[in-house]
Amino acid sequence: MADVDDRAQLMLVGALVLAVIFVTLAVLLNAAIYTGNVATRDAGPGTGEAIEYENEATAMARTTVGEIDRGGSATYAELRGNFTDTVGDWSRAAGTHAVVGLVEARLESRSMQNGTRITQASDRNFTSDSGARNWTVANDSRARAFRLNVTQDSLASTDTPVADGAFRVTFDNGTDEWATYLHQSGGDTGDVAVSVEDPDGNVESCTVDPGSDDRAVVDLTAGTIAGEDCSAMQFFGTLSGEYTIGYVDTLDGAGNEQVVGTYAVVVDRPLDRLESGADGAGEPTATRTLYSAELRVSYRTSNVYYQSDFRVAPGEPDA
Amino acid sequence: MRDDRPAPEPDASIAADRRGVSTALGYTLTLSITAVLIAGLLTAGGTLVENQQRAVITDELTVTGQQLAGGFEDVDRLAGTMENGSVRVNVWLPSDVGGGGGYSLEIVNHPTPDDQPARATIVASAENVDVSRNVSFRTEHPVANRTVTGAPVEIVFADGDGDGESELVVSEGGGAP
Repeated sequence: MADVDDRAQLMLVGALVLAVIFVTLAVLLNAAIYTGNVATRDAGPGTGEAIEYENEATAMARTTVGEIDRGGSATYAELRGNFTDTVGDWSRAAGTHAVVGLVEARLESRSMQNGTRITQASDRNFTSDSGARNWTVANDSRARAFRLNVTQDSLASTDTPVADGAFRVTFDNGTDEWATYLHQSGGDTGDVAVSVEDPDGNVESCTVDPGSDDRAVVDLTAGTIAGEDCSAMQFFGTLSGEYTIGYVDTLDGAGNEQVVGTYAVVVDRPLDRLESGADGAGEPTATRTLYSAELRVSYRTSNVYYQSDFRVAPGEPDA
Repeated sequence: MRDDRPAPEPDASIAADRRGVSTALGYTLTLSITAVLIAGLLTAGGTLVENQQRAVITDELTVTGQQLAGGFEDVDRLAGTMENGSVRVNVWLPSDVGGGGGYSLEIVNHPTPDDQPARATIVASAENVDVSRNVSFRTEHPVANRTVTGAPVEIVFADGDGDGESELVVSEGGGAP
């Protein structure tokens, strides 16, 4: 007979091995639970905030560039200084919020392009400052945010605007010329119509009912009339290089007004190098502004580093 | 009193002696049944653990692959809004699966026509156990072919193969960006 201490070894070894199996099982189940936990977590290192930051920065920069010349007669140096200061202030204010989430976010302005805003702020016919009926709005430049707000009654009523010489805005790049005619359609309704004549002489039109106030906003850069898309006006986005913008036949041959309203356009040519029928005093006026700006955004967390340049030119066809 | 079996004759063989047999027999039976039972338990337990481990590793590889795919998609999104800048993202991934085994991640780019988004597959394979899982995803920018061992990784948007166009490139060791 074996010693009493040596008995039940089979049970002991078996129990030990089973215990090890159970512990392993517990570890595995724990891993399974942890995996389930990880799988349901918010995926990724949180890059959405970086995009949000850039979007907010873009929105701020667009508004700032769009409004930078409000109130007047600042020099280009002042405009640039104001813009840089605004960007710096915004970056610091937003950075304070970002720091709470252990984020370092920064926005800086890299470069700006001087431009000129040509406006007619109160209703008037579209002749130049000196009363010329055909005149150059801006020479050899590119335009953004070109909007005309016209009264329906003032427009020439015709279905053949090209032959009848209705008021038109021309874009001439030296070889090709596009003309955008504004008129009333000839029928009973007299809807506001825009007819575009391309360099080959083809004419395409859009009409829109101006509504109860009898006015229509024609947004040349966005290609819309009274907010409605006009396929004929999509040519603006395809204009390349610089072009001269002109107003033609603002008065008809007899001196009657063919268009009355307001308008505004920003061109990328500085005021002192611009040939325009608008000047600093009276209507229409030409004032200094910024055409566009380039900024750099950088966003850094423990897991994400993002740096990007972006350009803002509010109201540019492709921006 | 009951009659015990009579003692055999002194010169009889030992096989004929039936005294004291039940104790030994009972002992042997108990031992063998216990041995069979315990052996059965161990075998069943071992198989259970093995199956569980396989299942857990499969789960972990799937989740890890999906997390990496999520990282690629994040970088892709940032790369889409980026202009003339840089994008660098760390993705935390476990350094082992199934309680202690390493694994590798192979990223395979599938060429697609130019007008379609890029497509790639992550093949996550465990080292100790023969398990691998595939996770496919689509991105706007192509993904560079790479094989990395399972651990935290870094994804950058850069020209990885020198063809002048940037890809989403993964590399080991997601240090601080």
